Amino acid sequence: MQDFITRLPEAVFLTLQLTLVGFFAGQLIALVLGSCLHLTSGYLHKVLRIYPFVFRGTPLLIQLFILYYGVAQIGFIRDTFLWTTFRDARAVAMLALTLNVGAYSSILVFGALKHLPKGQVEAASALGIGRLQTLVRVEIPQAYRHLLPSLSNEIIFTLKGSALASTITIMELTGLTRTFIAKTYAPFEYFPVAGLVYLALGFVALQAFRYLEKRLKLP
Amino acid sequence: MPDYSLQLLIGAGITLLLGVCSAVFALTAATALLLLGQFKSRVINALIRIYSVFIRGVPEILVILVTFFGAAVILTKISGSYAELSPFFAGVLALGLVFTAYSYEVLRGAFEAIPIGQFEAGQTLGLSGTQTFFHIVFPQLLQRALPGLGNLWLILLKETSLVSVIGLEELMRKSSLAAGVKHDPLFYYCYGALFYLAITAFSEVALKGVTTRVNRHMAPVKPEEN
Repeated sequence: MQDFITRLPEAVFLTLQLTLVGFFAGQLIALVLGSCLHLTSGYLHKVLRIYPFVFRGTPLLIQLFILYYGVAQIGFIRDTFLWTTFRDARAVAMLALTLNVGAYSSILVFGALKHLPKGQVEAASALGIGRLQTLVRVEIPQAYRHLLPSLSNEIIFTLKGSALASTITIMELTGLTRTFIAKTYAPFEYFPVAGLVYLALGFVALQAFRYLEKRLKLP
Repeated sequence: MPDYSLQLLIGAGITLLLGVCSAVFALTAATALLLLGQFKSRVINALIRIYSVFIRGVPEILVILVTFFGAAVILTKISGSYAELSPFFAGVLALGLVFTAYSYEVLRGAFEAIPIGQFEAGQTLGLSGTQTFFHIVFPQLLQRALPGLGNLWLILLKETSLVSVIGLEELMRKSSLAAGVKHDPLFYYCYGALFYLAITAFSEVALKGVTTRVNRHMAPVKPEEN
């Protein structure tokens, strides 16, 4: 247990790193793709939908394995600078989380934009504001106000998803716990500790979102 | 057909079976918890609350590992010699325990959204408690809970892949095995992903059908914001 506790901070740091990078980079994809989904229609819209469809329809674990074991097979990638990314397990885990979160969140962003009252866009257009500017200045800020509760779910989802990094040799919180359980065969000692750490991290994230919601609430 | 297609198909069958068994476990246990909650006992409700918060905040993969190794520890202690739970049962138990908490939250939300007047109306019409529940409350409960439960099913299907870490040869593990033998992870993981995509897409269509059928005689309800 002593050994476990001393190695805990490093593992928690890795978990945090994976979660935060995955979440925020995913939000960047979501913002761009969600807006594009909102602005497009017809075939272009359908093509853009392929990425979220594929990433929401398959398990994160298999996505991770495709990126880690599968991509290494492609000769072209091994020959270029991309290889420094794809042979690094941590970078691949971040990439997989990012793509996964991006897929789920882009649908959320799209949904929030779609459900805004039509009058908002019409009013902006009546005032002579361009379509892109309307999106940036009028629609997106309002959409995100509605989105915050869903995004707080999304960050918990990312936190739990980061545990899968343990399957590609990363010693984050789950990886560390798993190693100790396998070594000592005392699952009931390590599990509650790891569980409480996850719970605490999730709690902090939820509080941060709650604070943000309060700050951004319309009076 | 690529090599090992049949093996992957068998894996997909096990994935589905695992999903269905876990879902049945979770729905049964969640209903039981919902009924327990009706006693309005503070202790019981607090315990359910703690369970739900803890299990939903911990990664599923960790729950699966602990269930598998924990069951081995307990069974060994009871039987005296080394014993372990089969990966399938450990998987059903772990995923069932996790999704009990999620389905409980969905069912509770749906149940609380049913106006109290519905129960009173049943009573006024001279229906017994059970009759009121089955003829009046249950159809409305189903209508309100279905979207949430449908989403949970789609999530559960994907989470079944995590049971591969304790050695169950479901779709994920079969893909890994095929990838290892053929030295072609890119193809076999993508092939496996295609199976998952097919199962998910089929589930979505089926869920849409079920929803239409359940709602055919019902006035529409406003979906809850979440």
